Amino acid sequence: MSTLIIIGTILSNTLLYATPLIFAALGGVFSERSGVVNIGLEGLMTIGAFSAAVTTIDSGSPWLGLVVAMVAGAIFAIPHAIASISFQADQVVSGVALNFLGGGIALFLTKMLFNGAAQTQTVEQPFTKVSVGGISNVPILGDILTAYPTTYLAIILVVLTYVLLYKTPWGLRLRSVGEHPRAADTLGINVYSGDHQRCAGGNRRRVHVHRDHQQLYVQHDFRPRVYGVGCNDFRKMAPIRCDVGLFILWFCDFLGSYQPDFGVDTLRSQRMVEYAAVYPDHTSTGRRGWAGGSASCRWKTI
Amino acid sequence: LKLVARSQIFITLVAILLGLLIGALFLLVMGYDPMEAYSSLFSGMFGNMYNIGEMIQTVTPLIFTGLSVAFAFRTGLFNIGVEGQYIFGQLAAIAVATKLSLPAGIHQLAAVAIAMVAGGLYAGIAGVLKAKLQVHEVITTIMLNYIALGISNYMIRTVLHGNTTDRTPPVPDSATLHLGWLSDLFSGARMNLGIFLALVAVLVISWILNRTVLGYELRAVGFNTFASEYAGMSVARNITLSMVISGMLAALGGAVQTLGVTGYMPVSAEFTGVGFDGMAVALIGNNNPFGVVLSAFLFGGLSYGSATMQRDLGVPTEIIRIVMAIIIFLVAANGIIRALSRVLNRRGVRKS
Repeated sequence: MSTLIIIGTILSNTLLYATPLIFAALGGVFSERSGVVNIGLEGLMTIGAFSAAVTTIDSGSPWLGLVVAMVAGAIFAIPHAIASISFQADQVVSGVALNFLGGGIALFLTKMLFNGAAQTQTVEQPFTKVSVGGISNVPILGDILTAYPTTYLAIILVVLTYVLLYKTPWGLRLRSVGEHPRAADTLGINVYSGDHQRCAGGNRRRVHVHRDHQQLYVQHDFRPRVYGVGCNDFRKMAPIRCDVGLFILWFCDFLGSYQPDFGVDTLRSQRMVEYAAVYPDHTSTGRRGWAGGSASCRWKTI
Repeated sequence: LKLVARSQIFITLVAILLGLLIGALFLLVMGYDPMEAYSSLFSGMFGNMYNIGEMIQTVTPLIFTGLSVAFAFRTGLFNIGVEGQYIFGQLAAIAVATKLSLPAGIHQLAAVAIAMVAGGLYAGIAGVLKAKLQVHEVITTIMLNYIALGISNYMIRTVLHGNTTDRTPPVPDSATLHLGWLSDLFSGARMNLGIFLALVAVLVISWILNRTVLGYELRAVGFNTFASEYAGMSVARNITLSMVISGMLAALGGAVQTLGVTGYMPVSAEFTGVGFDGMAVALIGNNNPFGVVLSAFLFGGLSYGSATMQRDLGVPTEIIRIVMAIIIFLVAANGIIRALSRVLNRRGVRKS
């Protein structure tokens, strides 16, 4: 029985830790599918976290915080969209700029609003765990499925993203713009507006992410974390696959944090193992020729 | 070609000016006095000998990491793993410094050399993966960053630690790169051999890139892989080599910082950030070795000076990151500046 409880705890925590990553990765899927490389995930997540934290502290409503974070993220994604699409800037470079900008502005404003402290106050009204129906009474399953509402939201979004990308004309256009902008243009699809939408949309997703984050670790600081970059690694994948990947990733990470209970010394070395484990996946997804990346940054209508 | 170079320099300069200007506007909107803030910033950089010395000390690792990113960039690779290679350099250097006992002179040389080899081999992993399997180097190097941080913490906790398990013992005198006489000259700033090594590295890299067959091949492969292959160059070899050299530079920076400034290595939950800042430095420096030195001074100098600004006026140091972001952004999307100058030109013509 105790083993079962441990497994239950592990699974429910895996869900918990995977949630922000799912949001971010979905954002990555969106922009990557439309041919926009986005290294700027991290900066956008930070901005999302900051605006969500401040809004929630101020208004007391985490849902409002979530919405504000989405809007803030979309706004911050606009310069990236303009630079990389309208001005054909190197997308990787403008993504790097976005990381600097996001981290810089979030910390700057935090220090200003909270008298020089490098982190915000504790969020007093974070999301709380909910359970659907009477499922919490079921022994193990109840533990697993009593989760934060954002976790459910994440899972719903995975399905939505899949439907949007693969089952709608809009999704088809988006993917065609990403894969072959010239051909898409020939067919009368507006590459530019498509790309812009995608970029903003993608980033909006990404922004939820940090939102969850400060509800997990009540106190929040804005130093760049693993998540954004980690999510980048899955951006080439299809939505469903990427989430499976993320679950594995966070399962490993969680195991790491559980090591004391298993009588193993707490070392961060499990990171190495888990990232090493991700490699084979990249060797299969990364076969895009020498240059990789996307063509749309060099795409120009004649 | 000269014209292109001039316009690139022009764009960078305009971007820097605009960056500072937008930063000033941002300060104004946030209720600070931008003039006061900037003057405090510059006095923090050049106010006295100590500040100048410490500024140089801050800039040194940025030159290395910036050079590392720039070198890879020139050969068509985006090395995001500079951070990891830097950490690997630190680790190897501190290991040699604390675990071996060698006479002074040889000890420093051994520590620096082994650090460079370690960093080079480490970056070489990503190089080989790219060359043999076409795995995108951005992804592998990001991953390798975490692996480096993990290995480093593991090694310090298990093998390299001193009395406490969370840090190594200090670097012995026989292995230090610290220069006492230079420190005295800069009223006690932590001066070391690093800045000289950095300048030598800049010269060497510039020479390799522009004056050797190797450099020509590296640039050619970066410019057009297929044409280079057709011309008989080994693409795989050049990609690997490029990553190795890039990693060596980053590791050298790490070694210099550990042996010359910090003097020990702690267990760290987070990255140093020097490697990531190196990307900004390389981008603003237009991936030119000499440009890197200038932009490292710009970035490092402003970052160092901003501490004074925060202490004196309470202006958060992050304003510098915002300014840098705007500069990178404008340099990347240089079409914005081109369009701007075109509009200004047209207006000038109309007036005359």
